Amino acid sequence: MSAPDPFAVLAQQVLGDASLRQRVRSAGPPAGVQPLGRRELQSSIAGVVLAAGGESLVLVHAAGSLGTEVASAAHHVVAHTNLDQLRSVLGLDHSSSGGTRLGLPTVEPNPEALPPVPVQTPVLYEPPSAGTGTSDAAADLGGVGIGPWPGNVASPEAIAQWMGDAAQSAGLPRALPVMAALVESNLNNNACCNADSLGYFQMRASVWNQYPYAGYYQHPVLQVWWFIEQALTVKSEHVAAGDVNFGQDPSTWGTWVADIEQPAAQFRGRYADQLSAAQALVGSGSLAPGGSPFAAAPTEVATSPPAISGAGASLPPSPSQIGASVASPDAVSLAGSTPSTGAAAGADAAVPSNDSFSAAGAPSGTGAASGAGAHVASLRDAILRRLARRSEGGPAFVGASATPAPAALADEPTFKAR
Amino acid sequence: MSELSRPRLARVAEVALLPCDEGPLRHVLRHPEVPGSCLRLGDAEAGLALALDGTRDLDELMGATRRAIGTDGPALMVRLLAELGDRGLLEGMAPQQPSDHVPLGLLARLARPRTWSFRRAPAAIDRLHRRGGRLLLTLPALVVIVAVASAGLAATVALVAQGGAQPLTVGGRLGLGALCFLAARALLVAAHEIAHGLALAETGHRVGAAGVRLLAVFPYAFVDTSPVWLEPRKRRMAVTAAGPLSDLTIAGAAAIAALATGGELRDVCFQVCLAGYLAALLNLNPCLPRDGYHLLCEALRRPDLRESAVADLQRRLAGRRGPEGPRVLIAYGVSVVVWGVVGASLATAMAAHALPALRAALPSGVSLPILLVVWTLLLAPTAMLVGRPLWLRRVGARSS
Repeated sequence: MSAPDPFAVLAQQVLGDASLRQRVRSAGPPAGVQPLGRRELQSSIAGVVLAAGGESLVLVHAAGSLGTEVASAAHHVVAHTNLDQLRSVLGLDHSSSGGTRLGLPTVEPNPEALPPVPVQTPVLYEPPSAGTGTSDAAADLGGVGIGPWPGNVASPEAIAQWMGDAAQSAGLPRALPVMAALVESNLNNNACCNADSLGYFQMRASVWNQYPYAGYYQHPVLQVWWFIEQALTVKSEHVAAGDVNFGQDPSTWGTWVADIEQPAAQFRGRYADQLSAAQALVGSGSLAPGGSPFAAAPTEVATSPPAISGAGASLPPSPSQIGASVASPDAVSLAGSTPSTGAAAGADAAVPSNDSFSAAGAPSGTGAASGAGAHVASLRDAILRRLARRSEGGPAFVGASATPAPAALADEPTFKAR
Repeated sequence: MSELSRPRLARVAEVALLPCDEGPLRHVLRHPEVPGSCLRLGDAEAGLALALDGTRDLDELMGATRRAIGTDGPALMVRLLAELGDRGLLEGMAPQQPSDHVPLGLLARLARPRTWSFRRAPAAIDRLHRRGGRLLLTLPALVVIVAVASAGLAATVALVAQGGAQPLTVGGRLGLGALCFLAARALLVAAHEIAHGLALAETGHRVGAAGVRLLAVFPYAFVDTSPVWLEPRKRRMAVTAAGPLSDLTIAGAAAIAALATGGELRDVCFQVCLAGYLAALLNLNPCLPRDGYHLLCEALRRPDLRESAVADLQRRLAGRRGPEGPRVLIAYGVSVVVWGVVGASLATAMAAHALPALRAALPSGVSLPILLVVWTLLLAPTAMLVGRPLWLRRVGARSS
């Protein structure tokens, strides 16, 4: 019997031993053998995930805008809801006879034991006496009235009118902010992306996205307020330098805007080019210069206390004394103050202590106040904090003469139950 | 043991003979149930493999091999048996998975892909093909598809020239636009993979598997079209091209719809169009192991282009001597590295585009480090590809 073929023996071992097979294969396949891997045809969805991550930031911002719109809608609904009628429809009216209260046990009132009680309808929101009536974050600062932001989808005319009204109420030309916004963002709050510039006026996030302008991208009211403040500061500098007629000639408005926006030297002329376009967009307006559609008259403050109950700070609504008081949940006013760029203007803003407002920005005890109230409160918080900072020595654009002690404010609640 | 002493090919093994223009390795052998079991064989090797019919013992096989091929025959048979055995192509032998014998370190374990297969997907694609999907692969339908894809390109140019529609914006809302874009990408990925599956079904094969795989942090959808290795080159290319063609067709149709409509519907269509062309561009990029790469492999007739090119490049970088490979390998290897750097930088630049939003949304000082991490992550594969052989070279130089 012949000896077995050594290769047959090797083959037998190779077939029975995985590690030996591995050693044999480690030199690679024979020349006439080409392994073909799995032919997987792939389509990356990493792009989807990365895009989702990146765009979630956009969604965050969009949610901010949406919040503003929802708040506006909520205010609108609440402001136009006849709660008495609603109670009657729902059978919740105290005065309706035999009404059941949504399944709760009915208690027959004893007319003798219970004296008639006038129905008290809790008013959640009271629209400002003058204004749109559907305002959301209308801020009124010492007569400077910034109406509710029309929203991302509003027409350029509506946005321009909104800016123009605010500027006019501050004694500025109506076209001024629109000229800036046309150049910087084409009146698009979502204009993107030159460095970290955001918003209508392409404010640098690294510079301005902080107290008190934190979140300015989501709250364009803050952007307009910023613009007005910058414009008045520029004007006051010119006035102080002896140019008392500064800003009266429309041909100088481009330079004015350039001083505010501070672009590169070669771009300073772009704003003047937008004068006619801006004027066409804003029209003549209906406000008297310096007038604010959102400013509450001092008497109104006294006779029409705000509807939202809760703690806060209140200011004496004396025309002779400037004090911050809240006339309605969506209007913050420096009662009696008038916009002024005068350097002598000291801040007499009666400023609530920081404790008067919760960290969330909403006054405590807002109770039934909706998310809209919280939004307005946060906005108000930012604005009042800003005023507080100014009252501590910063330049103020509102006419004010003295800073009251915060202690004087803490005693009087800003938000009173009706 | 008797099966091993008289080896025979697995009964389920599939064998195909490709046309002459496929080159010398025209025989294809694969196990239908074992992923990655496919082998292309030359005439001699195929002869040896087909001789494994279970009628001859190893002594007889070695004798016959020596007579047919010469003194090198038995050694070739041993190597061939090892290859066939580990791939489950021999009756009675289980396929050897790489993880069965390769110890994995922490990094390798982290980088190991994780797969979620949709078990019913292959049957579903088959059913879809039978119930009308095959009509999409008829000549008239293909003419229409190509026409839509071509017209869509023109429509896209017109749309961009016209202005108005913006990326990731619907009705002036970025959030809504982003949502539409994401939904469109998901739709396109599904359509892309189904298109591959339908094209494969048209060749008479069924998709091996379909699902989602996560490679490190990068997820992707996949269909296993390995059975197409048994088909001639043109069919392989057709199955591969079906995916990008679906991207282009959907994008083209969306572009035409966007041009024909207005308002928010136009914006939505534009997002679909954008997502489609983006997908087509990515999938046709030959430097990524996607459809474009497979098409390039077929065009160059090098199914192992990437592996060979990377191995060749790393050998050169490590300073090791070896056989001089064809220039196409060098060119492709360099392209892969260049794309790795360019792609990572492009992606980082896109991320940087969102820097203002990042700064507004995150605490100060966080956005830039995030950007740096993104860039590092994206650059890591290329850095590993180039860095390891360079490090080996340096270590080798020190030790010598």
